[in-house]
Amino acid sequence: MTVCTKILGGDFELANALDARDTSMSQSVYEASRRLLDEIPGYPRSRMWGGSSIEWGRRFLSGNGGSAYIDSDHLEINLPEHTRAADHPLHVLAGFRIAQRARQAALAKLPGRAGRLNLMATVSDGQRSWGAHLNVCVSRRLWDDLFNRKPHLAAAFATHLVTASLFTGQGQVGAGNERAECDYQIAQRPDFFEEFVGWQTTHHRPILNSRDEGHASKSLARMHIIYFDNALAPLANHLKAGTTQLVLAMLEAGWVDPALLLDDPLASAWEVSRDLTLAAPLRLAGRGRKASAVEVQLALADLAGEFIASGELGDAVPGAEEIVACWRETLEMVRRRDLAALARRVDWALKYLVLSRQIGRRGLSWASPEIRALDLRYANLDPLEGLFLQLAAVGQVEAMPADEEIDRAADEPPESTRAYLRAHLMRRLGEQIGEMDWDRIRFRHTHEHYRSASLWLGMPDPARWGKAESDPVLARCRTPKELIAAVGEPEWPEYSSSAAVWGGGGRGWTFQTTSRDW
Amino acid sequence: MEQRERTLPRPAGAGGDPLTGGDGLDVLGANLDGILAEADRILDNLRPINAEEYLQQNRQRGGE
Repeated sequence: MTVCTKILGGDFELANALDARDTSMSQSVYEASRRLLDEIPGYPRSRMWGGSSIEWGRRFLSGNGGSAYIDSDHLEINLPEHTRAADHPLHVLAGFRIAQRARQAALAKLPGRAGRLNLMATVSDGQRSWGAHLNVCVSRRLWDDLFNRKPHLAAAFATHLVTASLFTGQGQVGAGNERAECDYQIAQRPDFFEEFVGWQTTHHRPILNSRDEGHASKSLARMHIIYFDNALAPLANHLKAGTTQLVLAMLEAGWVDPALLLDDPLASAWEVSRDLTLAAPLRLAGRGRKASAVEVQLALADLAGEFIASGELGDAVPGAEEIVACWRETLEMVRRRDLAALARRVDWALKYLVLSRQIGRRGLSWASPEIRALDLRYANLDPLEGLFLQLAAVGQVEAMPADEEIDRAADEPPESTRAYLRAHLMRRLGEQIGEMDWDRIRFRHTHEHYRSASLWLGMPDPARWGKAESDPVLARCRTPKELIAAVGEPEWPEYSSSAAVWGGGGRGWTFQTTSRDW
Repeated sequence: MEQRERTLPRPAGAGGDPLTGGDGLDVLGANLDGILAEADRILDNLRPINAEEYLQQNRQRGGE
């Protein structure tokens, strides 16, 4: 059985706020998000299509091939498609860099430079939550099996997501969503999850999100993973992406260990997040069996190692052995409860260390406003304010890319996916683009003195049209017509002639939307 | 840099680690001096804020 390439994407909403006291400006998240998006130019220039009252302003970026828009008064950044989990941290940091550049430009335009614009890579303020989603390309068959035919696959995937908080959590002071109080927990999202599966993302959030927006060929689907926190630490992001690629690849190949399934993933989600012993036993589906989150994760890592050795993975997850090695090493740190080692690669541990330090030095408590404010400031994207960025700048965070690498990833597309062709088409023909989505571009076509039918270019396979395949085409084709002849036209969905509703198709819990993130 | 074993500073006034009722996280065999020194320096140089106001100003809408 062939496992499809586990292309990665990501989309995250940022916390943004304008502190504009003593000015006539509106002091609100609404104002902040709009001022930020105004500083991120993109295509198409005219955006008369798509969007809704809460999601609007979508633009694709000719720099890295990703996109940006506003979602519920948050600036949202969408990462370009990429293949290697080891590159995922760089693309996340590049997304932060794009947002931070917008912040600086917006700040310069504030009247009299009054006020402050805060931008934070969090997913909760304790009362409300927003998203930092990981997207992974899977086969349509896996999608259908997981959501419609084989509940053990859904249980296995939920088991991974819930126990992966050990390395994906950013950490949070206190409870969220009016749940029972706690001092500190390892992840921000679990308190906001209330269902096992569902299409919705803004209420009654499900561990498994069935929003079906493939942005690709009908043979592929996109697993939209809404459970995770927004991680800043590079190795946390490497593991978040890589372990999820591997688990989905195993599910696609039928590699499931029924002995590892959690009995109640929702209840375990809250338990794992609040368990600072890192060893609390979770009830498994098998009668009377229990295992801690780290034991479950270690077993998954072992299974992934066997899966790779079997040869069934093929080339579907580049760098698979490297992912498993980092996975096991990190889990051993968790098992040893070695906070000092974890703090260099996992956000919740670094945040806990710094905040605990401040509590001890200043005689504060976890309930102190000063500590709750520091919780937010950890993920502030201003390099002079954010605790994470300052600690990374002085070498306290493992595998942090150099500033120049982050700038390059913000300005250049990945070379192994269709993001490469998308970015270069925008650079060359951006003014002729009338509409675009992740898998298609509509060029405005003027014929003599009148506009004729639009021209559509399609890129249904996210793993195609990287640099090696695109450069020769870009060298010999000049016009949209020539490019379409060389690249191809879109695959149209079964029930629609418009890209605005692509992704429905009547499969499972379908949801047609204008929210389109890779 | 000194290698040593230590546990995290306990919050003042708490009987044991308040997170887990006295069974909190340990820092085993770790070299913490570097990271704690950097943390201290960063914390001491943060822009002063009114924490209550900061929390209020940064309240968000939900999302996704």
